[in-house]
Amino acid sequence: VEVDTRNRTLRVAASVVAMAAVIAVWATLPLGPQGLQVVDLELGALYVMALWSIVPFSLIMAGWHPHKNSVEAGAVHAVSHSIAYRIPQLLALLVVVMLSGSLSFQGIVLAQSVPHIVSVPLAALIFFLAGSAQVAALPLGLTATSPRRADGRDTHSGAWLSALSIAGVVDSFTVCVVFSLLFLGGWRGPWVTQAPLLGVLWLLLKAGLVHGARALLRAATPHLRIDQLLASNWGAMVPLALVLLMAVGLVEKALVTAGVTLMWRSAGLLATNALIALVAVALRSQMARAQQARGPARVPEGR
Amino acid sequence: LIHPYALAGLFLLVAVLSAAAPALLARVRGPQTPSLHEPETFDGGTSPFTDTGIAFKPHYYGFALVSVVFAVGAAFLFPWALAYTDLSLHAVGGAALFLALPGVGLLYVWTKGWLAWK
Repeated sequence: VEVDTRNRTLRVAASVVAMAAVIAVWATLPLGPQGLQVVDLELGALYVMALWSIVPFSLIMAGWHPHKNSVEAGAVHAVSHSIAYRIPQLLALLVVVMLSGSLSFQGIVLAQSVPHIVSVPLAALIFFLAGSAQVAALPLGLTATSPRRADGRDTHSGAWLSALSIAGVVDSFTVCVVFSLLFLGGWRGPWVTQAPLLGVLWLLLKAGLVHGARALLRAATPHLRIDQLLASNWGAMVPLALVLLMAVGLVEKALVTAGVTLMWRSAGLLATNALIALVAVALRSQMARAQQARGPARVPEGR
Repeated sequence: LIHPYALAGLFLLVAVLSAAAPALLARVRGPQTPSLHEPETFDGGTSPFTDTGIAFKPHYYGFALVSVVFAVGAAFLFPWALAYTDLSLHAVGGAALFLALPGVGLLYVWTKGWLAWK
C-alpha cells in the first residue's frame, strides 16, 4: 500500500500551532505583583484573545485529511464548539476593561479592590461558560464524534499526538487562570505585599477552584448539543451580554457622575446585574409557557 | 531596553520551539513505521461506504455574517472601553446606541428564523 502524504505537513503543523498558541498566552499573565510576569503588555487582554482565535485554526488543520471525512467533520464540530460563545466572551471582557480602565492584566488585577465577580457576576458567568465552550469542556463540549477523533487525533501519533493533547490540557487550565485574573482579583490575597511569591499560590488556588467548579457543573447538568449551544448563544448569551454592557456602562457612569464611592458603586452594579438576571429568567419562563401553550414543536415532514 | 512586544515575540519563539522540539526529536531519533492503514478512508471503525467529501449548507453563511457583525462591533468598542473612565455620559449613551442598532438586527434575524439549526 502506498502511504498517502497529502496535507501531512498541515496536519502535523497543527500540533505545533496549537501548543505554541496556548503557551504564548502565558507571556502576559501576571503570576504575582511586579516581576512575576514575562512582560506586562499594554494590550494584554487583546493579545490573549488574538492567540485564542488561532487555536480553532489548529483544530481545522489537525482534521484536514483527504481520506477521512469523519475526522474532518469532527474537526468542524470541534471548531464550532470553540467559537460558539466567542462574541458574548468578547462583550463580557469589554465590561471588565470598562470597569478597570486597562487592557493590561496587571492593570485589571490592580483595579480589583472589589473583585469583578462581586460587581458584575453576570459578566463572570458569561465568560466562564464561554471559556468552557471554548475548550470543549462538558457540559458545553458535547462533540458529535468522539472527542478523541473530534480534533483529528486519529491522524496523529507519537510526539505529534502528545503535543496536541498537552495543548488541550494547557488551554483548559489557562482559561481558568485568565478567568481568575479578570474576575477573582488574580494574585491578590492576604500577605501578598509582604511575600510577593504568595501571589502565585493565590492565583493557582483560584484557578483550581474555577476548574473544580467546571467539573461540578459537568457532573450536575445535562450536556448541550451543538445546535442547542448555538441557539442558546444567539437567543440568550448575546442579548444578555449586549444588555449587560449597555446597562453597566450607563449605571457606572451615572454613579461616578453623582460622586458615589467605590463600595456603593459596586453594590449598585450588583443590583443592576441581579435585575437583568431576574428579567432574563422571567422572559425565558414566559417564552417556555408560550411554547407549551402552542404544543410541542412539530418535526417537519421529510421533503 | 527591550521593547515589551519584542519580549512577547521571544516568548512566542520559545513556545514554538518547545512545541516542535519533541516531535522533531522523535522524527530524527525514533523508529519510522508508517501505518499501512493510513491511506484508507476511515468511517467510525467500519468499512467506508461513502465518498470523502462533506457538504456544507449555504444556510450557515447567515450565522457567519451575524457573527462578523458582532465581532467587528466588539472590536470597535475596545478603544471606547479603554477610555471609558474619561468619557461623558453622552459618549456612553452613544456607545449604547451603537450596540442597540445591531441588537435590533439580531432580533429581526431571530424572528425570521435564520438562526435556527436546520
